[in-house]
Amino acid sequence: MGDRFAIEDIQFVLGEHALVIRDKFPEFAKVIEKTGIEVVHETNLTAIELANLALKKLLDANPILREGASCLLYVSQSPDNYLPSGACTLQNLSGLHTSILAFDIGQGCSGFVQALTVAAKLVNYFENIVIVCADTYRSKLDRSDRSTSTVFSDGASATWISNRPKLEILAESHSTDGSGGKYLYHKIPKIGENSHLVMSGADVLLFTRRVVPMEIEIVLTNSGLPASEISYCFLHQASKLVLDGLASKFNDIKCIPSNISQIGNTVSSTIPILMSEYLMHINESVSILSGFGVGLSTATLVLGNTELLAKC
Amino acid sequence: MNINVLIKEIAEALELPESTITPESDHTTIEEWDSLGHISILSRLDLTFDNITERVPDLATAMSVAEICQLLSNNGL
Repeated sequence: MGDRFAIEDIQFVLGEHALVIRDKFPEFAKVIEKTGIEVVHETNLTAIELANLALKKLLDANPILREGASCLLYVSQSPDNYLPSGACTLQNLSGLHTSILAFDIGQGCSGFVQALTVAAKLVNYFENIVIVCADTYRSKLDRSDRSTSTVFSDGASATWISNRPKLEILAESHSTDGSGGKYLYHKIPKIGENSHLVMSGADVLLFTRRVVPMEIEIVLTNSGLPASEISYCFLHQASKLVLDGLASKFNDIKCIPSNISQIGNTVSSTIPILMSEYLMHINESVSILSGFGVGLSTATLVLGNTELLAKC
Repeated sequence: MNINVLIKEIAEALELPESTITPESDHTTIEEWDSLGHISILSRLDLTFDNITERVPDLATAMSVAEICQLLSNNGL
């Protein structure tokens, strides 16, 4: 059994420009049926500025964190600078006190679940940990590429993890296959060059279909829980095609929520944004979280309230 | 693999008339056959041929009618 913790609050912001696909990209309207995404959100801000807005919402809602947060994990693949780290910049922008361990986790769609895995192992020592995820992929896109322009949104989330003993990681499974990096990448441009994010959607889709169900089966087996005991399965909101394929393999799980239609794929923030709608219930139930994508990587957890399970 | 059957599947996936696709077609000759179009083709093939992409992952990079036909034929279809 690992350390116990609670997810106390999740706040988020989306890019300030809501782009309705049918209106903004009428030539791409046919793809909505496949992506399931009606609206994407775009920002003129940098990822750190967007992150700071989400963190400000969290701090305003929970002022105790201004002095009480002792660890800040910043998850992003949209760096403002090569150095200093985004976490250091964010500490200063947000006004969090300086007695804080702050570092970056440079991951994308798996990043929140990876950060939560780290946080759960640190929480006994650090007591109050904040995970901030922020990505601004839309600034990296080739606007004529309908497979990315109609999918990605800019967004940021801020999640407060405390050492209040509610949840435990009952099982976890992680995978990393860097040979798949060529399927989703954005190269640092040379001087005078433009560089766009490149995604081989078919390869990423097949990776997801091959690996993610297997990872979920692994954590179910290792947790000793049947799928019917899982209240929620929070999957990375990649696209409707991906989500429908995964959901069809786990019919026994009670609830596999999705909010992709009006929010789009916010990369590292999709899972915390999705979880924010269920925050009242998460600390009292058993959930699966699965992030997957760029790397290629996956991170899958079973989170459960062990007291609740003992009563069952 | 009957190439006409495959052309019908690809046309359905890309929501195009069958007449616009030939055995020589590939992703450079059909505008709709981009990354998302290819995902649609794979999803259609999965539906028709019992999750064929799980058994033939090379379909992910097969970007022409001829390549797909060859891979399906090699796998008993």
